[in-house]
Amino acid sequence: MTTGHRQTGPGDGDGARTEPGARQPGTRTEPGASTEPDGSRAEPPAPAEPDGARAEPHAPAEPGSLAPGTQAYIEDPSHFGILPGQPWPDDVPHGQDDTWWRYKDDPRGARRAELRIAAFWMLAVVAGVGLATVYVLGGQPQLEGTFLAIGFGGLGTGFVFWARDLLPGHDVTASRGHLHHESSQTARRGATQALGRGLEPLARRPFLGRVLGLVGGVFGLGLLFPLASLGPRTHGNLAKTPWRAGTRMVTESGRPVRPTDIEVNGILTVFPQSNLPLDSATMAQSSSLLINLGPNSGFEVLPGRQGWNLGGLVCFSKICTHAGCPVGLYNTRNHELICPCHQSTFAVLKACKPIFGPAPRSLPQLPIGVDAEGYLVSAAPYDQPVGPGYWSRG
Amino acid sequence: MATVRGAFRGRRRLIAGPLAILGVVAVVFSLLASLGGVSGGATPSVSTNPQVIAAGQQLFDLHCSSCHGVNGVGTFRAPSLVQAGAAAADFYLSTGRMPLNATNDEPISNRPFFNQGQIQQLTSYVADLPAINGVAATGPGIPTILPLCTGSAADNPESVQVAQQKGTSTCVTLSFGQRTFALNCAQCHQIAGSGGLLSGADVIPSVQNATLVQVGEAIRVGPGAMPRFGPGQLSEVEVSALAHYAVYLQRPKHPGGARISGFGPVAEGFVGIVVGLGLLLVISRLMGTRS
Repeated sequence: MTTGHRQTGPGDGDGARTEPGARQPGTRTEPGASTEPDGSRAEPPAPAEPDGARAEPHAPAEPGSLAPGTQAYIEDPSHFGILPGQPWPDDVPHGQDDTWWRYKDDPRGARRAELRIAAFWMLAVVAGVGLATVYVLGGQPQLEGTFLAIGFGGLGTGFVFWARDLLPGHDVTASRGHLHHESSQTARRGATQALGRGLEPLARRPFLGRVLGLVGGVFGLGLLFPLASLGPRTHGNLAKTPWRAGTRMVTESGRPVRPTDIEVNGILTVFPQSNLPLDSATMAQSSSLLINLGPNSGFEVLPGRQGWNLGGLVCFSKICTHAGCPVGLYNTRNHELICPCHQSTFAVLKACKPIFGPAPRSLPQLPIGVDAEGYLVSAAPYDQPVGPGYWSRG
Repeated sequence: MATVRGAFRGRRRLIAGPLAILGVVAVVFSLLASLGGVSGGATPSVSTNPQVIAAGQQLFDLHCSSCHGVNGVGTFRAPSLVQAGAAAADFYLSTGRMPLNATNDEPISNRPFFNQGQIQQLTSYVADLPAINGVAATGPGIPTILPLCTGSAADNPESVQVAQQKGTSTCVTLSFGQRTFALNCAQCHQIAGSGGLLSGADVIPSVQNATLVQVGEAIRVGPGAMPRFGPGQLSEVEVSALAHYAVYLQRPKHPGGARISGFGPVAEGFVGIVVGLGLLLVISRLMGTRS
């Protein structure tokens, strides 16, 4: 036996507590319940006796004297008052009512509840407008976060009150009828009607619908705002770095580097030397890692990359080809570079080929040379865009 | 009245479980946060006194030479120490990483096996190994750690910053250390210095128990899987600033609230999900019970 609603079987200990229809008047735990005179309270009309309903002789939960399962349907076609031919989901048994809601018989209470819900949603609208104002005026994260919390909080609280006060929320115990391989026209029409029956209580409140539309409008507009926060256009700069043939390698503090400065098993982050100060984005994008692998490290020079390394000294882009994090964890024991963000691991000895993690490509290699004064330079620009792939990559 | 009390009892039972979990999480994290401290000690030094070196040799022959070989030339079990330098010897001995119980063990931070005097004797002996073996090249010596800027120097941060970048400063600032740490160390040791894991099951230690000199030695030596940073890569000023910043990280200020062991987004996300969503769960459950 299965029901379209929450089922309260005989073995279900919560049954008596969670099913309002089965509650005894004395055990109500609502604080407001005691203040209301009993007469005005809308008791669910004649909640079905679950035990009575289950007393049907063919209910599988109570085997009784009948043979199990399919046999029962044949012997007694009536199932919770539903005949096998009746369309699903005419599933509310006789004597039960699932249309009861809290203020069903109290129009003033319903109106009050409606206004309360609308007030919460208007609070959400006001918070949304406040958020937009703060954003347009330059933004203040704490204030924006507070407005966002009030906005979504008001929206959610309104929904909870709507569900509690104005929408039917009764459990009924019922059969889902018989399953047919091919549904009849009547059954399908019945199903459509039953779905409409669920929308009815929502459509009953056009005022709330309009307020909700307003909230949706404000938050929908809010979704457009991040477009303004995407930052300046890149104009193809993603593909280029300032590294050129003969660009000096300098440390973060602007000091040029000699080949002997890097100890064996040492690493150094270098940037292209520039007359003009580089903006931080360009600096981050062009950051490269010098590694001294030492003699006899077994570094594999790829075909076409002869002369790109200087003995054991190699240089690779520091920007991970997965998500653009700085690949900085260098394990000197096995010469592996690891990205701290998603653990992409690059084998330096195999020209920084990815051997673990989500990175799809090798780190681009920067050919290195030495200028007349003995400082390290890039012998040529990067032969491919550094960093993660993007949609217009050549 | 009985009804009201029953309702409260029911509610208490409802939130008892989540509250207990929250309590346990809070206790665990406060314990984690309170662990760790600064270990002090005198500044290590290298002696050229022959008596000290001879005493160091005795200790070396007794405790080290079975793996590192007579005169530290190395064996198939352990590398040569001829060009290891005083920095390496003092670092490995004073952090308790050496001697190892078994050659396959990972050298990890431990209670020092030797006392300070013995460590000085051994360090002096290792510093003398190039001379003993007749080799010209020497390893890194114990680094000098410049003091933090105070007084008039700290009042002029612009010029101090420039002097530190040029390597001509005689004192260092924490902000310069933080900058250098973020560029050179944070990728492995975390921006909070809490350490982590590397490929090949190599452990990245935290900087929680390191002294100023030990941080400087580790930078110059590159112990284990760590890269080494010579004077051409990081100047004396930069190393000093890094050391002061690493020690500062042991007792940092937390303007953002709980540190959660400094493990970053994973731990913070855990707390956010368990505490934040847990609270939401409790609240929504309470609302559901009321209606």
